[in-house]
Amino acid sequence: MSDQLSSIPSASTSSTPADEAENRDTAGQIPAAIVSDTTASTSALVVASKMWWVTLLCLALAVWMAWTSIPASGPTLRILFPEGHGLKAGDFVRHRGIEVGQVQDVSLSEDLSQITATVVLTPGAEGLAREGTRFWIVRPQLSLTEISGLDTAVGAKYIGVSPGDPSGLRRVSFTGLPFAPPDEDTGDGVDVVLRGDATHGVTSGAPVTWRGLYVGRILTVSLSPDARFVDVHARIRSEYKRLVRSTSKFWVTSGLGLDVGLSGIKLNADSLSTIVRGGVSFTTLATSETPEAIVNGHMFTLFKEADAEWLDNNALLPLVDFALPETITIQVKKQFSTLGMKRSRNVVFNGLLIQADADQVHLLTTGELANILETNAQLTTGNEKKDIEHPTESTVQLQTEEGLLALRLTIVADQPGGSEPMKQASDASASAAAVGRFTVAIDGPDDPDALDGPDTLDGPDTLDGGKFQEPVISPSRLRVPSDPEDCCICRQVRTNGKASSVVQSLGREQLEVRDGAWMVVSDNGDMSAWSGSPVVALSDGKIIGIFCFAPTGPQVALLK
Amino acid sequence: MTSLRACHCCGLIHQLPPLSSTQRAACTRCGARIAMPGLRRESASRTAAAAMGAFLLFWPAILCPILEIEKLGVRQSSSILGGIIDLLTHGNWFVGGVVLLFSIVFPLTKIVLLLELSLLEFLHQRHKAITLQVMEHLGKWSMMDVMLLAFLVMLVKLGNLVHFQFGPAVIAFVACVTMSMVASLTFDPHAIWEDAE
Repeated sequence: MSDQLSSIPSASTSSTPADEAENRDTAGQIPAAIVSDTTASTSALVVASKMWWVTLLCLALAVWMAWTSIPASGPTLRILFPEGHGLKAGDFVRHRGIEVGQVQDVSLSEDLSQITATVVLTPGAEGLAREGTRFWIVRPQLSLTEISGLDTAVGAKYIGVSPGDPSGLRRVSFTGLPFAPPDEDTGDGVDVVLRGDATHGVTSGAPVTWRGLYVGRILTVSLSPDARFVDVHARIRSEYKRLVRSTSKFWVTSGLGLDVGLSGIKLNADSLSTIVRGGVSFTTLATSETPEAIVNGHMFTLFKEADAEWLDNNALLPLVDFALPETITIQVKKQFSTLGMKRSRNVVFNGLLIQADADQVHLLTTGELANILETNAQLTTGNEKKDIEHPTESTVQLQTEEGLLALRLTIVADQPGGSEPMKQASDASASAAAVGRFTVAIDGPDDPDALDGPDTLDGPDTLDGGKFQEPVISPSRLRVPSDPEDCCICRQVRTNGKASSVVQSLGREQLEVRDGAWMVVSDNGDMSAWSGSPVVALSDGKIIGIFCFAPTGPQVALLK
Repeated sequence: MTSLRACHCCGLIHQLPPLSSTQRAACTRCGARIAMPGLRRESASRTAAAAMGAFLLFWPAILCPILEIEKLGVRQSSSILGGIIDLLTHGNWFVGGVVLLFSIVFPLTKIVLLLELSLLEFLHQRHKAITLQVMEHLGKWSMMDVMLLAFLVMLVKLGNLVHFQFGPAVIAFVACVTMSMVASLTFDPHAIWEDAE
């Protein structure tokens, strides 16, 4: 070290590139480092502390990840199953198609006769850990009448769950079912007991039908306590529970009926499903007074076969408890212009006539009608929208039994501060979502000139002229709704001069509140025939809105 | 007293005259800083900070689920450590051991040694020398970044066959790799001998 140092020339202070190159070229010569004054003597500390900020960030990230990776978990349940069916740790518990828990561990019970699945529920699903909740292992099931659980044939098994009473006691240990319970998908409804002298081939899970329509399901088939009869427990779905009355008759529709006689062979069968699994059908007999409704657990006799009289002697059982409002059908020519050509098309709406005053009848229908009338007036006069007043009077056609009637409509202006329940603003410029409200004048049999000369027509007093045969509803039938409720839309269909009501139910779950109207979520396809139909609350039979089409889809425009 | 100093960047040896507290020396060839007041402290501190960051992130990176694979409805999520334990329990001693060694043991040792060298100034010179040697050798076999590449290759190749996605640990893993690379880059081996000379 000291030898080297002695042979090295002293540090040169020159720093031109030429000198450096020279220094390097000279063998044995070591260049001097460039020495300069530093401006920031504290920079070292600053740079170092910057890097420590990054470290702090890393610490935060690590803590956050540790925090989030601790799974939030609900209660841990222990479920005993008679058979594992290949269930293993990591499989899920599913309720209504989503995961509500996960199997942590599957082990044999001590006496080797059962398995114990340890299940951790997700935080939102604590409600499942209650008395009465039933668990079963979903696995593929193939039978002549049903294929279920196919997703578990190749994929993982999962535990199905049917929640018990929401007010039940909390529990963490359960006994699982060997099979999916037959009432799993029937939901609410009315339970009945059918006592017969034999099962006649009825099995658990078999359908209960009303005139061939599936209305319920057999839950269990068991012996009566004294072993002299067979008790069949059935559940009728809630939407059909009105059909079950004290005079109902239940009979078995199982199997094939073979009737060999001189006239030939007669084969009776209900459906393939009832041939294999059996089935029960029922009807309700008419009596002098309205048959009583039944309570849960009512007992009926299960007959081996139906009496021919039963089907003829049927009680009138409306699915709703009230008379449906009678609607009218109105037809209007919708004018529009395509490429400068004026065209027109007939559009049909349903509507409801309401006795607004002693001498005035209002028509309640979809606000789309008001839009059409306004557009027609614009196209007829050729005026811009801003120049035109709302058309005060328009004529549409009313379809009646006698034919077409011209119906003169005047838009009812907004009535601020009005006290009647239906002071619905029906501004013609309102969106199609609004309820359209018009005063009505009937102008006699359809007259082609009526469209051109409305001024020759009489006022509302023509209502007294006896021509007006259409049903008028009292305003007391209207109600302003608050929250979505179970309701139905109804309209009348006229065939061969005979009007009959058609109903489509709208469950609460199909309605979604948006901008003061209820959007209808429906898979019923094209519902355009229902436009303008009244929406009737199932609870009290009052009219609470008008079914109409907004640009966003079908919806219920509410009375205000 | 003039001393000799090699540039840590290009290796050229310089003469270094005694510096005052406001002077700094730069390499004549590449211009990198050779000596300045606080340079050693700065370098050590930066290395220590980066190594500490890597050390903190190392644990979530290997313990949290890094891959979630869904095949035919069966979902599996596994962490790096869990995967290695699976390998070992299934009897794949060789593969499991290699992954354990190169993805967990060596990187962790390297990070810890870096921390030790850059934080603890009072260590004996001989101890430092051994530590540095061990670290230099281990560093070559610390293959966290290679593992990251393996994950990426898997993502590209298997993307159409099975449905899988990265778990949260991948963020920690990437950050950990980055921090440990920063620590290695900023580490200046000359700095640890400066006090002794």
